[in-house]
Amino acid sequence: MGPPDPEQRFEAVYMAHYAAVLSYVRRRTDSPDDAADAIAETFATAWRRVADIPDGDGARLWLYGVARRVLANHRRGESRRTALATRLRAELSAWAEEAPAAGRDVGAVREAFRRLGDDDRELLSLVGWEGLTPAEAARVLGRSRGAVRVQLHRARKRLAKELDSAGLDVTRYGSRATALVEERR
Amino acid sequence: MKRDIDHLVARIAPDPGPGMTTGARELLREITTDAPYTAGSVVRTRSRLLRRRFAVPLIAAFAACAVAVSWLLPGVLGPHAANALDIRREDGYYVITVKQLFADPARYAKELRDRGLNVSLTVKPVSPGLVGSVMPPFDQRYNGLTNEEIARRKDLISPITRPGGCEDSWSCAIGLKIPVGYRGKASVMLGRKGRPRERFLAFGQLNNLGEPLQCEAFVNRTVGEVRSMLSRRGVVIGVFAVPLKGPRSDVPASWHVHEGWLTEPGKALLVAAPGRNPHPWPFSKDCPARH
Repeated sequence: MGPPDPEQRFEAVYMAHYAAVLSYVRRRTDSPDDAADAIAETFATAWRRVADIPDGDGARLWLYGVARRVLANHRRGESRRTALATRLRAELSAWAEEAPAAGRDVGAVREAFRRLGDDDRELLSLVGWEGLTPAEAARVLGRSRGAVRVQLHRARKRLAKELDSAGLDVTRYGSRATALVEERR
Repeated sequence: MKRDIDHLVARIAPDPGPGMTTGARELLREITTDAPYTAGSVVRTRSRLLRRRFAVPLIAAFAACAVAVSWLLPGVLGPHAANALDIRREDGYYVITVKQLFADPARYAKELRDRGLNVSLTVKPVSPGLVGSVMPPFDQRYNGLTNEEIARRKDLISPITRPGGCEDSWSCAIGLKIPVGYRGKASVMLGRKGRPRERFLAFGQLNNLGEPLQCEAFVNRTVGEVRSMLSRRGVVIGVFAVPLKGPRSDVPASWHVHEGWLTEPGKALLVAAPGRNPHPWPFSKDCPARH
């Protein structure tokens, strides 16, 4: 079996990483329409640059990087509704309607998290939500590993401070993780 | 503190969404069809892609319940032998069905234009289970609406589903209803059989009706087993997609198949991973009940 042609390769990259990109985008957008637009634009960009997509797990990090830039442009007001992904919008809208409400403690942690700066939130999210190592997060952000490690350390401290201000004891949460998980379900 | 903080952040992760869905697979085809790959580069630009607000490419319908539908409904809608389309006016709508699936696209265009309808029809290769289907979406203004909301709206183009009803009206449409006085501009794709080496612009799950593994359980079987099942039907595996890893030309035979589609005649794409798929795609509702 020879190497796949570009269309076949893109198809497989898409199938392999779509769910990860969807999660990344959906967790960082408020509306299903915005999420569908950003997903469509991310993969349309990937298709135009299919020769640049790295092999292996590097593809996922590369796609996160593209999605991140797409979302940044959207936040700057540069987004336009695409003619693509019509059914995806309907699916994401329906999914949003079914999302369960969060518990009180989770809400308090989210509030503290929201008070952080954009850069802190993004880095903590890449590690906590996407499960990336600091080195992988550095690839997504296009920054050096050393700089990202320092920034991550500071971001953790700033979140701890916010939690403390909100009267939430961080050290207790480690042992309460199970309860939090149950609360989210 | 480091671990506690990361743990806390992980616990407030918003829901990851529905994963790979029918709409997601449609998007894949929309993207690759809108800007075909040519000699080392993809030619169309982002602005063009995004500017196409109304020229909706209407590409793939990946059917949860793909059905082989005949467009030829002789006698049902008053045949006019020379027409490629049957267009009737009923209750404020033009009801359109296709009588001749392989007509010259110019004929479809003329017949629609003669009724003052700004809708273009194209005919593209699709996987066997979708031959004869009309591919959604039909109206740009579906954006952001749930299926229930779409069903309530009277000013949108809507599908006509096959006789006997259908659980998923998106994937078993055999015609269109267009409001009289419709001012939009739309383009609709009809599915035809693919020729050798022609890539499908829409494809249904491998075990949908009409597909190579019709009504057979293949999800969560091993790659080796599915390869044999496909081979017996003259289908080879073109490429594997490994979740979170990417494309592979081959994977261990002991891995599990998560999903699969025929992407061109005789060639399939399989999603496969070492573990099983915890949320397998349901069987087509058109398959006999399984016990």
